[in-house]
Amino acid sequence: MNEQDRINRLSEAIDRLMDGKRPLSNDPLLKVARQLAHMKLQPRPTAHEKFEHQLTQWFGTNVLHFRRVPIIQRSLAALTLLAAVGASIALLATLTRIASTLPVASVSPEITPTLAILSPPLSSPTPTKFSVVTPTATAIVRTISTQAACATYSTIPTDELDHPCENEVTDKVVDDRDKADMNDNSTGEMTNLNQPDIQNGQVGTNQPDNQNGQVGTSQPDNQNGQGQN
Amino acid sequence: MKTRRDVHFRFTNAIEGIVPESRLDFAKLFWEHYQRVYRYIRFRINDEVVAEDLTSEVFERAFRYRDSYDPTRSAFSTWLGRLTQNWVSNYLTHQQFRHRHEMPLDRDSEHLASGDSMLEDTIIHQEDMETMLACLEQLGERDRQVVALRFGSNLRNKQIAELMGLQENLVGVILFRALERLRACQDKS
Repeated sequence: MNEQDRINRLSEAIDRLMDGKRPLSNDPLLKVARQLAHMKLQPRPTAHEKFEHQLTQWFGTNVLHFRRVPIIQRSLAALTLLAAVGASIALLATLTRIASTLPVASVSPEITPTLAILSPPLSSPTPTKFSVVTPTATAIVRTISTQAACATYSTIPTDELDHPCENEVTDKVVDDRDKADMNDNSTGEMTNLNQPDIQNGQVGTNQPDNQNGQVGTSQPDNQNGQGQN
Repeated sequence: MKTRRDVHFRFTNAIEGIVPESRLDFAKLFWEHYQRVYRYIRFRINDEVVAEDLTSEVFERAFRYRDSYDPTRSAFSTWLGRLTQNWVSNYLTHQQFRHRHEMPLDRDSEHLASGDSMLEDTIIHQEDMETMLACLEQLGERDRQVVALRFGSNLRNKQIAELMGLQENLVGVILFRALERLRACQDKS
């Protein structure tokens, strides 16, 4: 190989090297050429910024937008966007195809019975709850409040007794007594329980259990005088 | 009617980027050629700060005389290369900038700080680069200019020939001889 051929081959190899390709030559001078090509000679960042500022002054504020996103990144972003759009279109097409394969008439009969089955359990507890539970709860509350009121006054002496549950409980006792009398008329005695017991000086209805003033069946058998449940 | 020359330069410009027809095009070309111009000047002048200043001055001139650029006559890189070459030659002539410039130590550390994580490799590479820059200074003016245009500005032999008014084959020969001298210089170092 003469020198001119070597020069030509070296020139071609350098062209490839500068284009970023692999040089097709084994010339030892290529090592020097490679060193020269790969020398990291860059201006400092401050000089870069100064140059940017200069360009902005010369050409305007918006001329450097191209440098912020390199062309490779812009290409990748464009490809990603295209791929996303393509995937969306394909997805929509698939969904449309699936929807078109489903029979339209069979959709509503399947849904309607389901709703019909589901609706009774959802709606039925509401009237049951209100119709049954509400009066029961009211009755319990009234009973408890009455009993509490009576229990409060049960320890007070009978002649001082003037409380709201007196008549109510008495009436109840009378009713019970009447029932007892109706069941057992052997004694024939009629006791006016609204009158105080003269011998004991006590009103029998709210008195604790004692030998002289027993009222009867409706009186609780304890010291606290709790009412009958 | 387009001549063969017009087609050639259109093609060359299409490879290198765009034919500047607007301010935005010029801005883009300036930005893309900034590194090349700096590298070219750095190949010719072994001083970082001076190279940065000269690069800035070159682009100031390019901006001032941008209307004189004719895409049908030459590629933008050729036009800018000629402008850079003349400006650097003027600088060297007027400043008598022929003596060797050593790279100050603080700039070394700045390079290393902003370099790769492989510190040792960076140091070795830095030493190689300093040796190479020192060897470049030992070349003759024309050889150095050709090397700077080829490896700094990334111009082809044909463009360098056009720029320097030489035959393309002669550019290849100059480049070949310059690389031989550089290798000899490196072996000495």
